[in-house]
Amino acid sequence: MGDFRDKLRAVIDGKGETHIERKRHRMVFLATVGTALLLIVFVMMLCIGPTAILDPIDALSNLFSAIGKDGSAMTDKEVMVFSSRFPRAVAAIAVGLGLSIAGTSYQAVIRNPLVDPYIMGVSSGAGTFAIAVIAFNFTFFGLISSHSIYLIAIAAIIGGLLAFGLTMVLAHRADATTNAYVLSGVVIGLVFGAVQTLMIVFSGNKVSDVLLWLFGSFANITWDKALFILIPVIVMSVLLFRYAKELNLILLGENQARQMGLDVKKFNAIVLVLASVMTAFCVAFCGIIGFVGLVVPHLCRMLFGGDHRLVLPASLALGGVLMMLADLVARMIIPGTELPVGAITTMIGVPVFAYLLIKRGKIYNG
Amino acid sequence: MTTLEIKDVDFGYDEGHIVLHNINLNITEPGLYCVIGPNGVGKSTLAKCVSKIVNPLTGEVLINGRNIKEMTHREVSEVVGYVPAFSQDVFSMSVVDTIMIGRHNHRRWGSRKKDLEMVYKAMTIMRIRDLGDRRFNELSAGQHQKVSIARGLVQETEVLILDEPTANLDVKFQVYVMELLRGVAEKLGIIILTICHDLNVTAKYSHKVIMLERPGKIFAYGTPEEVITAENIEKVYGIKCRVTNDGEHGVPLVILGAPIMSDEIDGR
Repeated sequence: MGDFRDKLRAVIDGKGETHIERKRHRMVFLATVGTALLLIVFVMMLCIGPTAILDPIDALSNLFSAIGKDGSAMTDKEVMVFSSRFPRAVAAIAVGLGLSIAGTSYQAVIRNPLVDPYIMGVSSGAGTFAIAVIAFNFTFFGLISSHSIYLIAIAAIIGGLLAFGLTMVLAHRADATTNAYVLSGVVIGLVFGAVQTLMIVFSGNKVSDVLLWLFGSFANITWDKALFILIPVIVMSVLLFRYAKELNLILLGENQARQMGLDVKKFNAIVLVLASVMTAFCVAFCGIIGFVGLVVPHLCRMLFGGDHRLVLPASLALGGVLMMLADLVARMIIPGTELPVGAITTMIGVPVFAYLLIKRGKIYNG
Repeated sequence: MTTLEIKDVDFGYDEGHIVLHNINLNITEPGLYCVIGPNGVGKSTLAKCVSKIVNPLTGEVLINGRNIKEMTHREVSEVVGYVPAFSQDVFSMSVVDTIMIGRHNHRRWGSRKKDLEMVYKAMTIMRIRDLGDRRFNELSAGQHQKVSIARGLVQETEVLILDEPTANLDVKFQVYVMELLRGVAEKLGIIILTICHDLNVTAKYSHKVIMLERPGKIFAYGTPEEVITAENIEKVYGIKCRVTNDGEHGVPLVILGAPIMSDEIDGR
């Protein structure tokens, strides 16, 4: 065990290697450990649920037999694993990695450790529109059927993007500096937040539905919804991964980045649009889940250093794993009750974060 | 041969507040060119105009005959390197990673062996080889400066602009850096433009000196002997001084006297 720990330490600290070797070793370490953790927790998600706890072989054999049947004429167990737990796990991974990668990108572009994926007003806009649908049956003036299962999600995406769009317009009318983005996001967020508060006050007996959505949950996830989150999140993440090198460059400041060949205004706009669209899709079906997008990037920086070619894949793995674990706890801790997953992510995340902050937090103040 | 020409450049950050007035400069030979002048005279702004961080209101900056206004930022970064006076250190990376950023235009998503060799070479030159694994934000101000200069060197450009490269450095390193920059300019045949506050260091190491006066005009341009004179210093800086010969290298040696505190000269 001691030997293994020494080796692990050597990989993380990178003693006795050239710089490129160390990067390569960390990359391999991340890929293997990250994939293994994602797979293990994913299988746990398939095995564990309030109705029944299966052993991994049972869960996987039910999954494969359900896939073999192409989703028709399934047994109860197959339905449970394939139609309920599997999409829920997929959605949890997608939202976890999406929020983490969005958070990492936002923090780099805005160069501020306090920034999270909701800084550009996406959550407030999404929340406002989702509440309008839940509490007041808003159907976009009849454009979308009130029976559509996507109504809340579409409303949330539109609301999120509207708030983000207004933030961008305001920031660009100012001078498109990072401070302008942050302040515009805060102001637009406050406006939507105020509207939200007023709507909650008048939402009558719908208030508990509204709060359930706002707290975030994976309870009602189906295959369609899981894919609706997963596909855009993967596309946006791949596009953001391509900018890892530029995210390193922008850390030097906008003047320096511009001089080194980066069209800073265009780059900022692209990254913010990608991250915000991704955030809007993440909150659409599952509500507003806090903490992950703020803290996972920091955990990854503390573990792997500041290079975004490592921080982004680390955020992907850790975000996915943390979100699945949180969902597992949220649905298991009180049988028959779904707790808000956002509260659980915070409870799991804070001790880990506090430990790392004490051990490796000096990276933030020199 | 690299050339740098600044033609009729005016620049202001906002209307009615012009920082640079009608700057004309034609550099046709490689060497170390020092820009001197009092605080707020537009030295850093001039450096930013030449490296396309800001665009002049009128006039043009030509590098090897090409107007940088018509070049993309990427194209400019291939011929001009810029080392700022202060470096941000939010989410800072290791020293090697930080210097590696200077290779931005030379590398793809991953780093190659050649990039790393360049980085190590620059670290050796700047005597910071032992700092490679340290985080940038753990370093002292002087070490920051050395890392930033190393990052400028690995950019491998024909024109290198440094905004106060000797600020925060101890006396020994001020001399070492200026000697090094002069050597690099001569050896590689590139134009190095640096902003400097120490008149004696400027006199000793620069090939040519550009002296700016308020409000953002070139007051004198020439060899250190031509520019660093008691009369010029008094007029531009508002300080009495005596300029003699350093006796060893034949360059001017400035012995400062009392400042002349008047509103006209301070301009504030």
